[in-house]
Amino acid sequence: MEASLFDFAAQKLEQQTGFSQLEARGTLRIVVKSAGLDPRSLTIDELRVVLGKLMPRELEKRGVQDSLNACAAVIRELENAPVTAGDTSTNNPDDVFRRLAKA
Amino acid sequence: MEESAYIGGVIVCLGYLVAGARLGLLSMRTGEAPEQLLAVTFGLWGLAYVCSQIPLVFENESLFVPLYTAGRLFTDAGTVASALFLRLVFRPGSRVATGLVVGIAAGLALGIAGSGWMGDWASIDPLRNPWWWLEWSAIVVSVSWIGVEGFHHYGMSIRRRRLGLCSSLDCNRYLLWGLAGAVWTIYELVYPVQQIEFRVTGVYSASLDAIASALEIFPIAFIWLIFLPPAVYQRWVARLDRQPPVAEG
Repeated sequence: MEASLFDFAAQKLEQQTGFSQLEARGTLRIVVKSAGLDPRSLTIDELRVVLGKLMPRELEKRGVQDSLNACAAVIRELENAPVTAGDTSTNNPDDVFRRLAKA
Repeated sequence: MEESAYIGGVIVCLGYLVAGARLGLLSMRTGEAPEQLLAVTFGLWGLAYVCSQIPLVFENESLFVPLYTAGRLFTDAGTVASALFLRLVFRPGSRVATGLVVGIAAGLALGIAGSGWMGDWASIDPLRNPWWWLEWSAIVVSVSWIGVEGFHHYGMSIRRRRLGLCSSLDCNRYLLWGLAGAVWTIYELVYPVQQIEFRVTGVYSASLDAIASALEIFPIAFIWLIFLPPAVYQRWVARLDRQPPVAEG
């Protein structure tokens, strides 16, 4: 199942940009992947960074006028995001290898 | 066998056993499956080396078949555990990964059964025993999967590091994991050449022995740097974190 955090952020992006659901999800997926992240195991902190650093340029490319404000609004909305299992994951590869390195 | 092969065998054996024991102790504290699977993997691979070295060290031919047979059973069981680790950590819920694990386990099991049927229990005769190649193929798939996941996640972690989302040490562990998988794969590609040479000439050549020993030792070094990294190595890798992340957007 896709992480609900991704769904939540895509929905907010759709509202802020006027994108269709498909465009919003596709754009977010591209940006998340280009950040080296997995949409299924995103955390809120990772989404904040992605929306703050990568998304504005991606929105500009797609003709969104005030991309910085749109991204800032989505970041603010993340405060209301549901906390999912993926958000507190301790079994993503980074966490596992970090834990194993302390053997 | 050359002396370098004995020394290499002892280093590899101890390397796997110590890494397996440390991960086993960690798994007892955490109760988590990834460390349990890797502890089993390295522990069994270490025992496999013990089995393969004893007949050589004591030059006792009567021990050869039973201990080599035990050794390959340990190797194969450890290989299945490593495939389960890859699926659990890198591809949870993936049907393709599940298929790979099942395929690897089936290849190993059929290889063992077929080799036994051919009378090659120790699995040392690739020229007469076609089942040898099935077992070997399953191992090649398994170790190359380790390399593929390592390098794939290294590439992804480099992108995360640029955004300040992971550390240089995290990236470095994936690189080392990928390198270990790559060297294991090269070793497995050299192994049949060495075995065929032995079946044809009756001796292991010094040059192939040296290459095989080096290919066995390098992954041990990578494993130690991943799971038991010395402080000086951690500081050396972590120096990259002092460079500011790239600002994007």
